[in-house]
Amino acid sequence: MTTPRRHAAQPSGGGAMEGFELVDGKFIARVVDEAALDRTHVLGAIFDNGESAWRLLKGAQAHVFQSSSYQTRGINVANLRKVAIYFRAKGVVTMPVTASDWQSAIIRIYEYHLRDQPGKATLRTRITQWQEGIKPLLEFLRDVAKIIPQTVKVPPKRRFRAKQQPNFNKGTVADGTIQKIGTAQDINETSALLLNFDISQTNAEYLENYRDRLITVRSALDADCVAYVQSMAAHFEYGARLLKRCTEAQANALKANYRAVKGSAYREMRRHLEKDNLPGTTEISLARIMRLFLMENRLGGVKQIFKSTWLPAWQCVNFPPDIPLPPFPEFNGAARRFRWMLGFIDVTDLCILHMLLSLRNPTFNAISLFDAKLRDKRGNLNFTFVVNGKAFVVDKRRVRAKKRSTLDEESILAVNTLLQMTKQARDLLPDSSPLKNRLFLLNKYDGACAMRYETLYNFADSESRSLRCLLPRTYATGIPAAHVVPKRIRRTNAVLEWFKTGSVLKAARLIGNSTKVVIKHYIPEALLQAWNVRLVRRYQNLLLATASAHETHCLAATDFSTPAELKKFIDDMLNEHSPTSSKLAAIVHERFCHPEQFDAGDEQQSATKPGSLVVNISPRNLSVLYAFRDVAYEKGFQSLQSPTSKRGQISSEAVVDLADLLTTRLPDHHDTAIRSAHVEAERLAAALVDELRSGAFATLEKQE
Amino acid sequence: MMRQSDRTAKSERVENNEAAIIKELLDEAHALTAVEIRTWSASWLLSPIHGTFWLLRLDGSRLVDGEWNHVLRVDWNDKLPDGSLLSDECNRKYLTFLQQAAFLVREEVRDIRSSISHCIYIMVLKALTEWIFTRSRLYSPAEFGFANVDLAGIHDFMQKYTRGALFESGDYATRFLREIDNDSFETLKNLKKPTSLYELPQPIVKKIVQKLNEMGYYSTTGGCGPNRGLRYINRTKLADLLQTQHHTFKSYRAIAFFRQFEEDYKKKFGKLLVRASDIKTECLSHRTKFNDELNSIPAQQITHAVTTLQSLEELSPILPLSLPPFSTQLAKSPFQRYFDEAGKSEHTPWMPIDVSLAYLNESLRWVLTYGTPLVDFYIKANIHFKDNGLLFERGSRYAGERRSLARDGWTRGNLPQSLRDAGIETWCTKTRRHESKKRCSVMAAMTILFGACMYIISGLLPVRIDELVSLKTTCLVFKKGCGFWIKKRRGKAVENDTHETMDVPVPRASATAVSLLIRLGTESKNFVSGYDDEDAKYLLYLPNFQSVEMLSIGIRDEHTINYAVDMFCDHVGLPTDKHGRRWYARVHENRKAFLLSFVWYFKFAALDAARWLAGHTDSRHILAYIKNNFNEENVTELEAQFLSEALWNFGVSRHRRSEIRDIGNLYRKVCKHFHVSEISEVREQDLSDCLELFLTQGKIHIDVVNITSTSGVHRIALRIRMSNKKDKTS
Repeated sequence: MTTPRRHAAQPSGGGAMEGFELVDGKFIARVVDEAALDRTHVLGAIFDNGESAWRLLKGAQAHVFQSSSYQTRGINVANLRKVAIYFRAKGVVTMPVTASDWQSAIIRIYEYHLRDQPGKATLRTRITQWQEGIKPLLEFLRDVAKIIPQTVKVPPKRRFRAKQQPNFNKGTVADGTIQKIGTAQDINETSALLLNFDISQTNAEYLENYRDRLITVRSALDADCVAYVQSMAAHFEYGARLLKRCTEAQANALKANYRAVKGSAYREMRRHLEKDNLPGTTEISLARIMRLFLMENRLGGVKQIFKSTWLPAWQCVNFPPDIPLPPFPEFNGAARRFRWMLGFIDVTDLCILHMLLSLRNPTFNAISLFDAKLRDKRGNLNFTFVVNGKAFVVDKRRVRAKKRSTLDEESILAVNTLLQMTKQARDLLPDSSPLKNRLFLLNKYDGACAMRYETLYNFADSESRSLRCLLPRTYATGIPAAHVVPKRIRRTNAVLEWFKTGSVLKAARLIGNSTKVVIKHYIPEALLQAWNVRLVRRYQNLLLATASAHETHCLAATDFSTPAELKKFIDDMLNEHSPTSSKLAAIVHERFCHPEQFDAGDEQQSATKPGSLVVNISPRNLSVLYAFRDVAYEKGFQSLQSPTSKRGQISSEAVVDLADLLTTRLPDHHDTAIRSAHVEAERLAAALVDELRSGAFATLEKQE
Repeated sequence: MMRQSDRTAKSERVENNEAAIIKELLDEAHALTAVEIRTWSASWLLSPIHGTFWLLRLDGSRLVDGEWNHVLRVDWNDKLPDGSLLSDECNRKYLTFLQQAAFLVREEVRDIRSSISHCIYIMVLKALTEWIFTRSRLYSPAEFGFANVDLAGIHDFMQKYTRGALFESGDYATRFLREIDNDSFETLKNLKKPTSLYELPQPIVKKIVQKLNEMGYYSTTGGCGPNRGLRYINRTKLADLLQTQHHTFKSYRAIAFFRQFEEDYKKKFGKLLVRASDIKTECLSHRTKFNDELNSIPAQQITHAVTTLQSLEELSPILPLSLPPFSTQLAKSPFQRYFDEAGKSEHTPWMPIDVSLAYLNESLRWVLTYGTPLVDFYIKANIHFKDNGLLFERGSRYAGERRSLARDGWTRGNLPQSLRDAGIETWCTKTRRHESKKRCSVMAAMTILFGACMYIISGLLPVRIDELVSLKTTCLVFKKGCGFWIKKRRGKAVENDTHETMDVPVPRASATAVSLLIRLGTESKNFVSGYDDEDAKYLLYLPNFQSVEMLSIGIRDEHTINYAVDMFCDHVGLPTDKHGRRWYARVHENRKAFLLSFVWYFKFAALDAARWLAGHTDSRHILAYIKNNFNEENVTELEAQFLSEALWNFGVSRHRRSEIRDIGNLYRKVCKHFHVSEISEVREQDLSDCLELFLTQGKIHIDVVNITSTSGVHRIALRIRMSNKKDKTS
């Protein structure tokens, strides 16, 4: 019998340790996550389970547990586990000694990994796993741990780039005769998004419907989460106020009065105190119940605790009429509302808080957000105040990067609610507890408690019950409950952002990742392709139409079948792209534009070279401009004209448009001086409006 | 049911493919041995490593009767400056080293996945060889290889190679002078003032011209271009004299050097470096450079040279004859400077958009209007000729003449009116010079049509030349509710010499062009000689329009595609520039024009589509590509406006309001209101500083936008325009 041995990776510092352990002839690797919860992986037997196995594990240890991200450590352990399994599968029962023994062992497990291992992993996944995970492990064992002899080579010789480009048109046309193809496209790709969609529509319809559907679902989710969090916050605030009306001392005094009445103390109390015999309908009544509840030995659920003689039966409890509204009228979680009032937070609450933060701050990675710390290693608060609001930083350990997002109002509400509700329980935690510094923690009846990320987002229960009960608007959109997960939320955000601008670069910036990551993971290839194809086809047809503008073969040259379609397309292009936007646009306008479409205005000026308009940014100037706009909106554009027709007068629309343009831009300008000038100007403008009401006009004058 | 079987077929195909990949990976793994023994064999090398030539695997290489078809051949018997051949016994040690280096560069040092890219490295190695053998006395390469080369030597090579490739690195100018007239060379060496070999003193030039005359080195240019009939130094004879291949003299440096002795050319073209070879086009190409434009260096040439040198450095522990390592971990690599220089180098020229639209319109006319009747007639006529003995048969010259007349006669009698409208009259003319813009033969028209097809396909879709050549007859697909697609290779994505493919959308016009070519290829089976069913899977497997009687057939390559496009461009006949140069379209220029113009037109919204069309995986590559090109001298006001609008959008932080979506429209609207092309906001202080500067320069007009109210006049903005006076003063 072997005595249990254990090898710790980290010096013991309270809580569980990471490392390897031999239990019942099986090696176990333990990874501890940020909330100090254990994640064990069974490696199984390695070689003879003796010295050589320990030598291998000790050698690998520095590599496996090196990362500061427990997810990466987990992946490393999983790779080590694979190696252990492969060794057993290929009958490597003793540690190889010579270089050639090692070489052949490695080639055997490589073969097993690529070809023989059971499971559904695609070749590409297997190659990636090997190249990214197992090969570095083996190389570490060879180059750093010196367990594998130096001359042993780990295949493959060069990185293999598996074929990536999905081909959308598998069908071919034999010898050029044309075959019509309407394929239902790669199902996996599209279902990776929040929604599954029908591909049989035309491009434009399909994109439009697709986008609208995404918007509907996302806004439903958002509305549900906001309502939930707002209601939660209101309940907590209300509860806190109520609790002040019945302090612990008052409750104790109350208890002292009725201590004699054993077994039915509350009934007695109720007879005296609740006039209409409805416990909880008045604030003081509910306050008493809450206080007495808090003083109970809180084990089990709400209903269990209410069995106490000091409390009414849970079914009898009512709420006062002025209690904050539930998230939605049909909400039937009375126990939940009661818990909220007392500041208790369960997994569902955390999940919805997490979801709201994810929806509003797409920069945050779901797991990093879940593991977010209040203070960083140096003790600095991870919240910083920025000009308009709060910013929060989340550490993305796996890539050693910090993601920062400026929180909007609802996000601030979510974070504040979470902090306040958990404050008491958090304060009770010893300083050494890793929980103390976490943003996300449970507040159960028996105190603060850690939980695993994996327990969040479990909406996919029978008949989507929890979705129906918690997120009714989302439920109404008919999406599968299993789709409400952060990955899909993130992709949805990216796709919607992308629809807004039509640019992945933009979406990439929003999501805080590099372009490549976005293309590969967040935007479904099929959607991307459809959009891009449309754009390419538009451009090709524009080129064709422009090239053959005055020819008889113009229509035949394009993909349009009627002159009306072609005209509509060209009009669209003329509207979308001004002649100065590009050389091609200039030619398009020249060849297709009707003369009256040019600005009649000042002919002499439009003939000269266009120049630049430089707006002088100072609070005073901007305030005049903004006041002008406000008056124009108030009294109509016509009111702001010079009484005598003056040379060089500019239409008031022009000035208003300029003001509108600046107000969309300046508040977010990167230059703080300009931002503050804007804020100052908006303040000053109010005073100027009166003055301008009595008459004002804009002119353009030559300066010599 | 149908779909089910499709899926099975598909998954089978995938499995076969995967099995092949796994097999290759495992074979490679099993070949690994813990102990170092190099076998000097690889799957891409189809011949022994130390042979006098190499056969390199390509996509589609196949073994037919014990011989490899579709391979890349590299010869190792180059003539060296000292008169020996690389494959001679005295150079055996060096050649062994060179071949091993070329082998290891692909196998161990660089990440080379196709033989085409491998060849680039081999070419640099060969240039290095030429260079080091001109320095034999210093480095004794036959004995020591590169082991004795120092940094000064490397710099010498880099300078020469980047300027004039093989011509300079092999020091051919000096070799030429010494060979023709050693006395002149000695006088040159002894001149007090050092003289550039490109600006030789007049007496020496005269002497050399005389010598060349005596030795019979001058020939007269043929062809049908503007240089016809001019006397030039025969490059083939020169190559024999200097023991090299004539392509050594193709660089502009070489042309500039020899131009000193080519009076006719100097007189007619001045500083324009017109190639001394037969020109098949009507005008000079727009790519013809001026003497003073020689200093721009292709960026890739520099990168390739440097990476090859770095590879040699890395190989020195394995191959003692290789370059000793210069870079250490501490010091900056001595090669970095060359990369820095590469940034400033030249790019593919960007065809003006009106030129490309004019060509596009004409190619549409040819493909849509003349295409079908012309192809029909061509096929019908050839079948008729074959059936009536009007193609090649043994016989006298007279018989040939008779057949020719008969063909023309038949053509005149049967030509449809639509083709007569196109100016087509006869079946064929004897030479290219007899064709004119307005009237041409069927054979010339076929070439023009082919050129038009190539122009349409490459003008409406960014393709690389190899992607075009490798199109299959099955490449065209129609997708319901979407349109036409073409399946092509995906650019540089290549794994073990097998190219990936991708599907790209094409308009109906391109599809028409492709279908014409498919028809032509398939139908020609009925009359050409030597039809190969294996080659027939390629779209560009077409009859040769120059062979009238033999009717040979083959896959078009870059050269023949360019010829056809040139013919097409001459037929369109756009006016030349003032130096007599005309834009002759090229596939890679079209690719560039499409991508740039596409992005320019749709702005950032098009970046992704452009990335995808170009076969890149990262938008940043295409963004860099565009920026590189927008920085050229043809950055006009329009481009500045494009950038300013782009910057305007970028200036805004990520936290945005929803209505901001229309900011672009609003921006343009305001621009229109004020007749400006851009808007910027400047802080008051900066503005006054800036104005002071502008006003002192005195080249601008400034208009003030004022708001007048009861309390007074407020200046809110300025409109600044460059003065038109500038034109008058300059």
